[in-house]
Amino acid sequence: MEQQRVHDRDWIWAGWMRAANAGDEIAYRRLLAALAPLLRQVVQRGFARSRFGSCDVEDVVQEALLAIHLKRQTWDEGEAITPWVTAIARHKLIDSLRRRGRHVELPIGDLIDVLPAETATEDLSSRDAERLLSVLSGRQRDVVHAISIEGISARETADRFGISEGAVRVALHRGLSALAVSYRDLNQ
Amino acid sequence: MRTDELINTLVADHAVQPRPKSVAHGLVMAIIGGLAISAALFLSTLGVRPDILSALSTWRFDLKLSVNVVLAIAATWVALRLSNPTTTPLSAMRALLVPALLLLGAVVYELITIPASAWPSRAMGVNGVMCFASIIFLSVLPFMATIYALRQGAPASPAVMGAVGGLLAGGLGATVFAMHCTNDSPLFVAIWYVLAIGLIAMFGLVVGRHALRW
Repeated sequence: MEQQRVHDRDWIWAGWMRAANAGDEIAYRRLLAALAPLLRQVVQRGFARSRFGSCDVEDVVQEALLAIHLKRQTWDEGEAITPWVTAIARHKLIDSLRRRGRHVELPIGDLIDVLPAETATEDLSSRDAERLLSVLSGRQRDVVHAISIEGISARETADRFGISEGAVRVALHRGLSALAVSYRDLNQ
Repeated sequence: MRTDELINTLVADHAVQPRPKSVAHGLVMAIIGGLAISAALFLSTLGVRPDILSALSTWRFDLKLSVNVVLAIAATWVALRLSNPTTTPLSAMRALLVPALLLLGAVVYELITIPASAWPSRAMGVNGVMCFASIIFLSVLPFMATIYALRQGAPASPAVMGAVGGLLAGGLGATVFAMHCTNDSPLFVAIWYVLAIGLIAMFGLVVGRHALRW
């Protein structure tokens, strides 16, 4: 029963990804929105098993989403999508645990008292990730900020900054690649 | 940044290029480009051996060429499989046994068919060190192109991916060099070619750890 449900879900997700590959933006948005809770689950479980608590779950979720986006060409349309997504999430999880491993100063017992329990705004990343945007150069930061936080289109962004739509796209793509690198160096 | 804000950004970026070029596409371009430049370098420095036509009708020369071509093909296949994060490195690397067994078979055959007194001269050949250095020289550009192309992938182990990229580049460099080299004995290939390609693979392992991280 449970297996059947997972199978059906995968079938729907794979369909969205194929549609996205064919240029369907709405399907792509649906897919990413549906993947976020799964990623959160994988990362939360991973953190729970490690000794680091769940301090930066959302950072890793975002890092995994970004990796899924930047590596979407490695998914083969014939294969199931859940194992592929999980493999990326695990890769990012292990990477982040390794990174944090070097910097843990407090034993977990002390840490638990300090950490907030499950917060309501669970999809808000930590302040560290907030600072990430500041690593982007001027134009990239403006463009990423306008599109992500204000949610305006590439066309409107181009008009606002008086640049071509092509330049917006280039700045956006470079900004995302730079963001992926800075996530990696987070806490390092 | 909120996760839904990040998703906005990713969707906007996706709209620009719904389907990025596949790793296979980039890798094939890298192989063609790397091989072309390497071949041009080769022709302007070492050049093809004068007796290439008669050499082509000997099994030793053909085998030397085949081992390197098969290695390049097998490494390409393995690298493409490794670019998917769900692939476990060990299972994908089995294809590399094909060139290894091909060479091993030839070595055994050579050891059986020629007298033991001739083994050392066959193995050492003429100027093995120059051969070793030339293979590395001819593999440098294919190596850079290959690693660059493999950055598109999402390997479970970037280091292993780098090593396989090294094998691929080494196979290409050695294929080109084999046209010049007059040492055709499998014993020579098993020592000098393997040393050179092995070194490039080790280098790939180290480079891959950093360059292929994602």
